[in-house]
Amino acid sequence: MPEPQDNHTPRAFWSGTITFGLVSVPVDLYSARAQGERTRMLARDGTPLKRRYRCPEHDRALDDEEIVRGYDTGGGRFVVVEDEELAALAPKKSREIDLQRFVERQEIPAAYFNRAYFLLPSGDTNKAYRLLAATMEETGLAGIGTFVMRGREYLAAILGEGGLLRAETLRFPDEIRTAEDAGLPKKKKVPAAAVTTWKKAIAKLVRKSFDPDDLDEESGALRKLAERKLERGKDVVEVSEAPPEEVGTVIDLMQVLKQRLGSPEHNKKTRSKKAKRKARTKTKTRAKRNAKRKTA
Amino acid sequence: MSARAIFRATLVIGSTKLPVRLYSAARDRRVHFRLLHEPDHQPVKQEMIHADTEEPVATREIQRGYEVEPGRFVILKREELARLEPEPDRNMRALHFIARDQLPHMWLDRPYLLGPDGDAPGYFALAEALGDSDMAGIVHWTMRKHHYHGALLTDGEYLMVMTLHAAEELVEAPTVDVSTKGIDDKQIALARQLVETLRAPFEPDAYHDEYREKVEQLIASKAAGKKVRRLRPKAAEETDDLARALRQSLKKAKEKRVA
Repeated sequence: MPEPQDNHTPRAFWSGTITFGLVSVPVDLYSARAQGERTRMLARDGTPLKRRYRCPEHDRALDDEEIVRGYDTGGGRFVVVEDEELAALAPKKSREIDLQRFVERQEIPAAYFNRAYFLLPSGDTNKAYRLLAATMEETGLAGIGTFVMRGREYLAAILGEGGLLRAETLRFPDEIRTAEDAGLPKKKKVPAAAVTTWKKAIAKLVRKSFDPDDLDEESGALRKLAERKLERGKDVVEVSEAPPEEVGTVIDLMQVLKQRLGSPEHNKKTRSKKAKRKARTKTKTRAKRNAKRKTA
Repeated sequence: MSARAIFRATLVIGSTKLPVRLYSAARDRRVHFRLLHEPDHQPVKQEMIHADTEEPVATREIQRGYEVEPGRFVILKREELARLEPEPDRNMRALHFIARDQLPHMWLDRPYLLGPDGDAPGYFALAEALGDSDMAGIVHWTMRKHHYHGALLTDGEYLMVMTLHAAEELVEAPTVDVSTKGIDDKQIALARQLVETLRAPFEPDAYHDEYREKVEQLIASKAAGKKVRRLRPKAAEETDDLARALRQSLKKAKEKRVA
């Protein structure tokens, strides 16, 4: 049963069940992608623009109900396909991610990773969810399964991190171009001296861990420009009611979690030392980033 | 058939350089649909309209705005945006290297193959050095007027880069209580045993997009004017008795293993 939606609860991309063995874990799937650095299209007077579909033949704007999906079979002929027909092609996979195999996370080659989604518990209890999340995190394994979402099948790796389950959709093997496909030359004998040179060059640049702030240098350029102009009050427009962005709505995961996993205040008390340390570093990183933003 | 390189670059690691070619390593295999106007299947056109007046706005009239807070925009002029574009540069610089298993999966975006551009021995030597050290390089380059960050990786033979998301492109994961409070130790042990029993190597070739084939079949039979039967999806019930489900699953998994 879909839950009633209030204005603050972000809509899930997909709702279904993760099964492993005979255990079923109901989940809602939310994109882990945020909007990032984006601008919006505005009219001359600063009002945001909306997208609308139009029929060139009838020369008029169309409502959503008048639009269908069609596959081009050539020669201007289309086969119309309805959403219900697509879901009915794989009823089980449209509702369920069945994990039949668990693999070492590091064993999945990087090229397979496509998009990240957070999976949040959606059932009456969250016991099975917490159990699976903890088991995946402790073992460092990823459950592999396939599912159908919005008219497309996905191969997915389900993993546990920070007490949450995450789905990383993976590319199917035929969606990855290999070196052979690209026509790259075959490996030839490698001069040992050259390998040593590269190893030395690499060793000089080794760091302990990944720091997302390293990737921040060039990003944020649009925001910085906008903030500079805002300070000078230049080209600032206000609209009484901005229509929401149609794609990539930013979601407040914390809020959904509060509802689903109980109060975070309560969680704080029971947090492990490690989690506390982790949270501290996170806040620090955030604070650092924010400070960077302010000084920029 | 060999693919065409999309970019030529010079990989720079410290003071050592290597000319490379970039090839897109992701292929789009999706079935693509068009949006049609229902009665006569006319492909629709998209237009941008003013949110209040609903009047269409011509492309040349459109301005870009950055939303500094809800309902408040700063207009960014074309010239200002052009000034932010990076200078063209062929260098792909390694900023640093980290242990391969330190690279978070969440940050990975698109894969590109790197191929040698002249110096094949140097190319394969770097792939070998990177593979032996079990490292991933964090690289930066500019391509098509955009900055990119990527992870330089190898399968032991060839080099590749995966572009990485910017911090702003990812939703920050909320920190939650990892505790398995209220779940008894026996269940935790059973769950662990179950996933360990189902542990196997990653064999991607075992999976293919069956659904895509079904969509193609559906289209073919509809094109031939056949009637299509519909099945109704049914959701699995939430597990009530966790311990029992775990015990039975484990038993089944073990039986399957022996068989």
